[in-house]
Amino acid sequence: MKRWSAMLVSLGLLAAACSSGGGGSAGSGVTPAQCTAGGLTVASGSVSPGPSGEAPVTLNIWSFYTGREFKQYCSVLQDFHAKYPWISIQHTGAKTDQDIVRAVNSGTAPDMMISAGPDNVAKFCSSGAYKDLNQYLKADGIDLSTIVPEPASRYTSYNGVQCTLPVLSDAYGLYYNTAMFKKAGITEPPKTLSQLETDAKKLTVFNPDGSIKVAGWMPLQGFYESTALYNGNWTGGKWYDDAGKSAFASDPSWAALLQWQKDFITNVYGTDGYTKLEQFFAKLGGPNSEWSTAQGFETGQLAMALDGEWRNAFISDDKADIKYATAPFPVADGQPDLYGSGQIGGDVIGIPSNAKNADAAWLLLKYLALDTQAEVKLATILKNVPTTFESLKDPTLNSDPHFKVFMQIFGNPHSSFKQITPIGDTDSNLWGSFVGKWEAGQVPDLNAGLQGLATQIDQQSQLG
Amino acid sequence: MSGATVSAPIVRTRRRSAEARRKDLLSSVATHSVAIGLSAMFLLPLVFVVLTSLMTQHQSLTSDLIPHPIQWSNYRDIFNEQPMLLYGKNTVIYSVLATVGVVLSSVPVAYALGVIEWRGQRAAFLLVIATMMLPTQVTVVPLYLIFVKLHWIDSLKPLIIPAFFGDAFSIFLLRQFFRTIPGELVDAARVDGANELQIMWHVVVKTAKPAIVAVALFQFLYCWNDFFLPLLYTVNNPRIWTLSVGLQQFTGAHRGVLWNLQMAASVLFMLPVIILFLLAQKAFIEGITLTGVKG
Amino acid sequence: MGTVNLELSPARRKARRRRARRRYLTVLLFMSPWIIGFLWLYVYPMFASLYFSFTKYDGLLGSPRWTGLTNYRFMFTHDPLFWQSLRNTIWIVIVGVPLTILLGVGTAYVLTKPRRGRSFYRLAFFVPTMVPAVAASIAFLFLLNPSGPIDTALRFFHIPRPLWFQDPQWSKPGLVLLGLWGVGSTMIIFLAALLNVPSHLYEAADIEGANAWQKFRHITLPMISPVIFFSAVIGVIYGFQYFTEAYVIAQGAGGGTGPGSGSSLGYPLGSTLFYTIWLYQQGFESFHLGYASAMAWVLFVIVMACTLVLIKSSNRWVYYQGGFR
Repeated sequence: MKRWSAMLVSLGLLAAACSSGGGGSAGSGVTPAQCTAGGLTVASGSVSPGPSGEAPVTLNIWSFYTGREFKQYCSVLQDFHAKYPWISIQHTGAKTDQDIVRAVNSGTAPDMMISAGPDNVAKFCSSGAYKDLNQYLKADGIDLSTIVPEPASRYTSYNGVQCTLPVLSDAYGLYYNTAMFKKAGITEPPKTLSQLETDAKKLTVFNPDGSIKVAGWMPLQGFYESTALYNGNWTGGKWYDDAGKSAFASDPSWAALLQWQKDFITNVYGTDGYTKLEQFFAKLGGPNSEWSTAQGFETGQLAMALDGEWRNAFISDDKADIKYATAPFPVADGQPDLYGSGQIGGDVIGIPSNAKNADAAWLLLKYLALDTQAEVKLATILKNVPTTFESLKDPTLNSDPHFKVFMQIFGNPHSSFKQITPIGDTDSNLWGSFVGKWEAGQVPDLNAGLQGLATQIDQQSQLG
Repeated sequence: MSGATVSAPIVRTRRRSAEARRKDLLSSVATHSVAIGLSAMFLLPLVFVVLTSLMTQHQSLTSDLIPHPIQWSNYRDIFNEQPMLLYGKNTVIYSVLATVGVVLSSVPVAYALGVIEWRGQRAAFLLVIATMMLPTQVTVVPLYLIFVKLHWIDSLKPLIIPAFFGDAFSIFLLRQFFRTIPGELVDAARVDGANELQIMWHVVVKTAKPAIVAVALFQFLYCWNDFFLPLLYTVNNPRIWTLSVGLQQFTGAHRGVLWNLQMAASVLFMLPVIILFLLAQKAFIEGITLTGVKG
Repeated sequence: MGTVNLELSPARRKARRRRARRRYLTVLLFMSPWIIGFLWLYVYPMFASLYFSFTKYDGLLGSPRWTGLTNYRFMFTHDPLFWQSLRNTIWIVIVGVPLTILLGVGTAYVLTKPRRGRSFYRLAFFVPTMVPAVAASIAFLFLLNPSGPIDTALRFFHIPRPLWFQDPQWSKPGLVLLGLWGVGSTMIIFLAALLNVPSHLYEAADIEGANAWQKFRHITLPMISPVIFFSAVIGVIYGFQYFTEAYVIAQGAGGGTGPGSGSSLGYPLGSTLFYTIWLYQQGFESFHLGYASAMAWVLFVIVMACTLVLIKSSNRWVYYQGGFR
């Protein structure tokens, strides 16, 4: 017992010694010039006052990036620092939109946030969580419409408030394993959903015990990026009607899509297809496997996949041993004019309304979003679609046929991101859990279920 | 207190016949088989965790049980993969300071509730107990807003400072123990002219050392394991994450599965408290026993 | 106060009153940490959250706007996830609490038997309790993953192999297993209770020729019933606040923050969406502070009701040896 009290006391002393660095004394102990996998990175070098005597600042920026991409982003930040030597950057990765909402609400927001998608843009613009960038654009005499394509400026603003700018976009299309196509005697990628089904049936291989060995295409909504199909881009589904009410019940394409999915599962994988697909997914390693070398398309366990343009980079980075090609994703049978388009929408960057170094953050934001060189460099290293007219013309990016497909999808006039509203990603989450229930057979009456969902989404705005 | 009787033998036998001895042997074999089986169930998960922490990443994704080759470097790599030392330091700061706070503030309260006699004491004691039944969630929103106003979010302050205002569970435990201290001891000190502070320090705290150690251990452990409040108050600032939050974020936000590293990190996280337990087993078990005694 | 009422002179009465006042001052001084904490950390926040629950409040960016019963109405009529989270929570309480008590009594009972090796067994049964919740959850995430050790063991014995945290049917049972692994502290309390049962009761039963079950049913069980009651109350109070394990496991199994993936809370299919997780998500991810406060109060009422029912029922099945103290 004595030994213990002595130990506690010594621990106490230890803590007293350490605690000077503990209680939120941000800024201490930052090591410079490191692009590491850890959370803290500073693009540094010489720190000196700016040309017109600007005091040196350290921008605290957040992004959703992790791992390889996080490290790669650093080199562009270093370029920026070389150009603006009085601005240092501290970059923290693995941040979500929930994190930024919490930070803005607790007065601890960073100077800039790089979000993975436009889901919450309307929420940020309408609640005042982010600064309206129009003031900065006007002050710098920038006309956004001459630099950024219209769809991209649409998903980064809400009701005239441009509270974010697009920096790189994602475009979604079809990846298909050409070796498997050849073996199954399929000559070209499917263009309609019924062709997708026919081809998937030919490409699917079962194990002797009936479980799935190779899935032709994985239709479950929670699977990797298959989610995107259920956002309606390839079936012409609208999320909201003209009055701003949820259109899940009033737009018949949603019910048709879900019915198509159910038939797809039965026709390709059998009556217990859902269970087989779940087991298949779990064996791949569940959702986590998407970001590892165990990813199903890369391991040759998926013949076709709906995925974003970044998969090209992952495939080469993981040195996956597959032959593949890319194409636009097939569209609903009655909507041939949609072929060639797809879901788009990528990183959006904003400046929180209570950012401490907003002006310096604007310089960085302007650099990342509107500087052609920076855009091209980012697009090249991260294998994302650039978001300015100039950078979209870049010859090197267009030279890779796998990647070019996604540049074209981005440029297609029918490509879009779902309508954004002030409830943020709540509608996507509710829709996602509804589709999940539907797949699992927990929705007995589809139309009634969709009606209930629409009412629920419409009710969300009163929540407080 | 019942704690003292834990190790006392309970099976009493009278005169034994050969028949009875054989029966005893059989039942002893049966008992030990059951106990060994249960031990395996409780210990094997830990064994698998340790084994996996020594695998290569590729092997940890297979259904192999034994690491081959043994990759000790996981225990080095985990420090590169995430700032384990920083998390460890934060956890120690939180645990030690909060423990000090709870002990310093709870002892006098328990003393007032258990040793001094006064009207309204029982009601006050019940009120203390009642706060234990209040779900954290009822107070968490306004508290969060208070801490926002104080600029305490993204620091360890909202975790540590409230500990200096008494902790209901510790007060309860200490009070239960203080009540077992013979009244004559206290009265004798009073007759000698000692004031309450002196009595608390020289008589009660000295006598109740085991209870205080138990309370300190519990509080330390509680903080070491704590997750909800550290998550709530520190999630946005990785530099003050505790091991709980850091490990969860590593598991939740990491793209891809790194079982070997995750298991290595878990082993490092649990090791200190398991060692603490092995060293202070008796104090722990007596303390837990004390909580089960109705009051 | 055990003082005897005697006739006292006014002077002595005055002195006594002064002493009493001084004693109260001392008590106040000793109690002051708790009193300040009580007002600051309990009383004010309770009333404030009750007020917020009738408002629409999005945190710092706005101020609370009175909306009457809207939050409560929304909760009961338009929020299926509220009901789902409540159902999940009731499930884990109803399944988890009795199983924990059962295993706690069972393991404690086993520990009373062996004459040798008891301290080793006690150590073995108890060590998992020391593993921090987050570490234990990550460990079980691994142990129960579809190519993990448990799966290997089940395959070896040709037992059907569930997908555990990837399957909405099995995710909650997986969480219960994790909870049972940490049964140690419950076990220790039961062990003390079992060892406290006076041995003369068993001897008397032996003389009457009672078998082991009869002894357990008619002596052990009544004697340890106060501890069962205690464990049940604690289990229910904390069961309704179940958070850490479900949070860690849902985020771990459901994947993290990839582009386009929403929140993985409740993964899979909302089967691990517990009450406090939905409350956390509403309050501190969406910053619907008014709604979160309303949910907190509903939780409080539910927990109080369950505790009261348990207490009410206790005088039917809990046997107090020396009367209630």
